[in-house]
This record gives sequence, structure tokens and C-alpha cells, in this order.
Amino acid sequence: MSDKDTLVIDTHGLTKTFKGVNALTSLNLQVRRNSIFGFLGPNGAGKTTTIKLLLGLARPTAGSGRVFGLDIVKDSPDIRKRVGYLAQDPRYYESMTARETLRYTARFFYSGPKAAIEERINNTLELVGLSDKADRPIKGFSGGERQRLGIAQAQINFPDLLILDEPAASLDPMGRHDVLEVMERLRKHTTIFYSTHILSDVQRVSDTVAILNHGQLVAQASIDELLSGTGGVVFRLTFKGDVDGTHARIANQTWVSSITAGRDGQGQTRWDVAVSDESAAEKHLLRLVMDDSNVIVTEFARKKHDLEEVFMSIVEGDNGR
Amino acid sequence: MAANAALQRVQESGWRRGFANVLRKENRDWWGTRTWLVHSIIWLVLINGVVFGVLKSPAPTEVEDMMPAQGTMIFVMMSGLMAGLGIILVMQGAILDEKKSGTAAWVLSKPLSRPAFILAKLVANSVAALLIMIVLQGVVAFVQMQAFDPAPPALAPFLAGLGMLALHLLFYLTLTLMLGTLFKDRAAVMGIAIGLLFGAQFIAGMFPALVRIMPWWIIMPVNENPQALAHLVMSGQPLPTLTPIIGSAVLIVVFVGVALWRFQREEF
Repeated sequence: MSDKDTLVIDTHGLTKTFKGVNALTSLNLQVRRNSIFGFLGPNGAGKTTTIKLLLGLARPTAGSGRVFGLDIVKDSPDIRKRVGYLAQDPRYYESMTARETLRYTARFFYSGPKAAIEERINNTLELVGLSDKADRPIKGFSGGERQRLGIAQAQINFPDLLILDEPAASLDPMGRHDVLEVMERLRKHTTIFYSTHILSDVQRVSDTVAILNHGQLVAQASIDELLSGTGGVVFRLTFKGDVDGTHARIANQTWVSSITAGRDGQGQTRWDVAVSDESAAEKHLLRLVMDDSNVIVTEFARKKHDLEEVFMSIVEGDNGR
Repeated sequence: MAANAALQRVQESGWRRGFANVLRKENRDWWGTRTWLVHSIIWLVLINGVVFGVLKSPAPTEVEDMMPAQGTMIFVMMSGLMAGLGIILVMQGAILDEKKSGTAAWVLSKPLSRPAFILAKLVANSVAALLIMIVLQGVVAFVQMQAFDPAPPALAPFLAGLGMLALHLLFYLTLTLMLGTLFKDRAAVMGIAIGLLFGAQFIAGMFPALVRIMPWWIIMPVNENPQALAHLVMSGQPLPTLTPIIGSAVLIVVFVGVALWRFQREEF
């Protein structure tokens, strides 16, 4: 299968300028089919602008973008036929009930039969847990209920691509949990492209991540690649005892790039050993340390970066440039 | 995502995409709620209430001789000004509120064309306003005049005059619709539209040529022209000119065109 077939979103040099200020600069973004793609960035990084460009709600100043191979400017209504969208601060007609809102949404996609549309609405209300509030006007809905309605209306048309702008931002932990669960349930059927600030959510559900800063893409990788860090493979060792001799022995290995020493909270010595040959390190590193009878190893593992750590280092590194 | 096979996809395409759905929603806002009743009562009181008051109040004999068909004159002026004001109030939020609240961005994230959004609002509001503010008021006024006016209008000229009032109403409806696409500020939309409606005499005094293309003369005497065109038609008199009618019709088309053009370029 070619890239053309597997890419749901593909942008080249996508740029948006507002009154001389670059909101988005030359974005090259590729989102593969059936991925859960986390789109990260600090406030004002250009995430919502990107989403609006993809949906035809704003026009690019330069560059191009394709969704399902269709041009985001010329073919926007055809793209929107296959997309479900939840805005950052979703707004609906306040006098409508949840059911009426879904009916109105569904009618943009389906002309009938009435019974099938109503069945779809009922199923969707059930999916997001709003069946018991279906006939209440939206103006009485809480933030969490609005967000659930937002997810419901976004996927009423069985979209091939679900675009969610900060889907869990205004929710309490329970609400967030529910939203992530719905996303995980939907991943079997659709591609999900979502922006968020909540890094733990991204780590939990995403398979691919892009980080945007000041309107520029600063990283795009699978979550595993990103979490393994940009400085190569690192092993973390924590131990008690005198380690001077061991340090020299380890540092002399050809496959060791660097050793960063420190202490953990209990006063134990902690090393982050960066290596150039992962298999050699797996085979020999622990053994070399344990050869020294003065040393007691309490922890040995390949270091997994926290997404927050990775995010901060990428964004701060980019800001420092 | 695998769709339910029983569901039939909407077949609309091009500018019509989503039109039927938005039109249905807009019609429901008028006719599926009490809005139609509230508007009917308000305009009955403000237009026909005044006509009734004038028809039933005794006028001095010498004045009565000088002002034949007083009912039609009052009806034309009240209908023009009140319905004009009414439609400005109704339409000022039609686009602006949706832009500001975010509902326009929401519906436009669905397969809805921008012209369909504008035209559905235009059609639904035009039909409702014409039925409630022109047709209903016209029927009631006609019945009143047959009952109380010493010189009641004949049906055919009255209908022709009513057509001119409809044109006047559509002028302010499309003007306000267009202003809603051009401005983000309610004061600008209301100010310009109401200014053109109620400042007619002042503007006409400053720029007399505008009387020939604006709809002012249709509903009221302007400058040296002593009688409103719609009143002349209703009372069976010949029209001195057709240019305000043609001018208004052309401006209506221009306003709709500008609204469509501007909204196509709107960014959300």
C-alpha cells in the first residue's frame, strides 16, 4: 500500500498568517489511517489553526493540504462528509435538546429513512451516556455533558476521521476517563486526530504524536520513539556502595557514550548510561557493574522518558533557539 | 467507519449542500415555536392598531376632504416603518449571533456549503416576514378599510401596493443580512440599517438623487414628492416613476450577492 493510500492527512508547507503574524509556518504533517494521533503544543502553538485549515473553516496563506487525498481548499465539503469534528469550546443551539442537535447534525449526512436515523441517534446517545438527558435543552447541560454531546455529534456520521480539539480539557478526571474510553472504543473504526494539553492522556491512548511550537512542527514520531528519547538508548542504574572503580570500567567500554551520575531521593547513586549499541549494553552492562562486590544494584532498567519530560525538553529546546 | 447500510446519504451537492437541513431548522425556529404568534401580535398592534385608531378617530370635515384614503396612507407608512424596523431586529442576529456564538463554525464543519447557509436563512426569514408582516397585516388592514374607511381601496391596486411593501421589507431584510456578514459589531449592523430606515428624510435632503434608487419613496413622502408610491398605487393613481422600485430590486440582488461573496471568505 502506498503512502497516498495510508495517509489520511498530508500537509506540505501549510502556512497561515493573521495580520502579519505567523500562526502556522510551513507545516508538514502526515497522519496514517487508523492511528490515534496526538497533536501537542503550548497555547497559541497553532493547533486549532491547523484543525480549522483542515476543515475549511480558514484558508491557508501558503502551502497545501490533503485529507483522504482531497484538497482542503477545493474539496472541503467532500472532506467534511467523512469527518467528525469536536471544537475546543463546542457551541450548539441552546434551545435544542441533545436529541434535536444530533438529529440536525445527522440530517447533514443522511436523508432517511427516519427510523434508521433515530436508531443511530439513540445508539450514539447511549455510547456517550446521554440517553437519560436526551430530551433536555442543552442550555442546562454541564461542561462534561456538552463535551459528551460534542463527541456524539462528531461521530454520528460514522466518520473516517475524527478531529477532536482539546476533547478532555474542560472535564473532571471521571469525564476525562470516559472520553478516553470512548476514543479507545472508536479507534477500531476510525482515525483520530486530536489536540490536547494533557500529556498523560496522550501517553495513554496515542500511537503517534506531533509537537507544535510557535506555529512550527518541532517533532513528529511514534509514541515509543518519542519516549525512548532523542539522545539514543539510555540505561538507568541505581546502587549502593563505592562505585569509583566501576565508573572507570564502564566508561572505557566502546559502546558507552556517556555516564550521567546523580543521586536519588534515598541517597543512592544513580547513573544514566547512554549507549551506542543497545544489545551489547543489555548483555554486558549489568554484569560489569555486578563484578564489583562493593556494589549492590537496586535498580536496572532501560530508561523510559516521561512524555512530559520529552515535551518540555523539545519545547524548551526550541524556545532557546 | 462502517456505516449502517440502511441509512441513505444526502444527495445534495454544490451550493445546495445542506440547504434543506438549514432551511428546515430556520423554518422550525419560526413556525415550530411561538415566534410566529408573538410577531403576529406585535405587528398587528403596531401596524393595524394604529390604522384602526386613525380610521376610528373623527377627523375635522375640512381635513377629511383634503386627505382621501387616509387608511391606506397610514397603513403604508406604518407598515413600511414598523415592518422595516421589525425585520432589522429579526435579521441583525441571523448571521452575527451565529458568527459570535460559534454555531456558524459548528454547522460549517459539517457538509454544508456557505451559500446554502446564507440562502436558507434568507428564504426562511423572507417567507416568515412576508407572511406575518405583510400578508397578515395587509389582510387585516384591507378588512378594516372596507369596514371603516370612507374611501376604501380596491383589491387589485391594494395587492399591487402590498407587493411594493414586500419589496421595501426585502430591501431591509437583505441589507441587514449583508451587514451581518460584513461586520462583527451589532451596533454597526443596527446603526446602518436603522439609520437608513428612519434617517430617510435627512439623507434624502442631503443627497436627493438617492430618492430615485432607494426604497424610501415607496412608503413615505420624500422631499418634494407629496405621496408615497405604494399609497398612490393602492388608491388607484398613476405612478410618477418606477425607478425607486427598480433601484430597490437591484439593490436587493446586490445585497444578497455581497452577502454570499463575503461569507464565502469568512474565517472562523
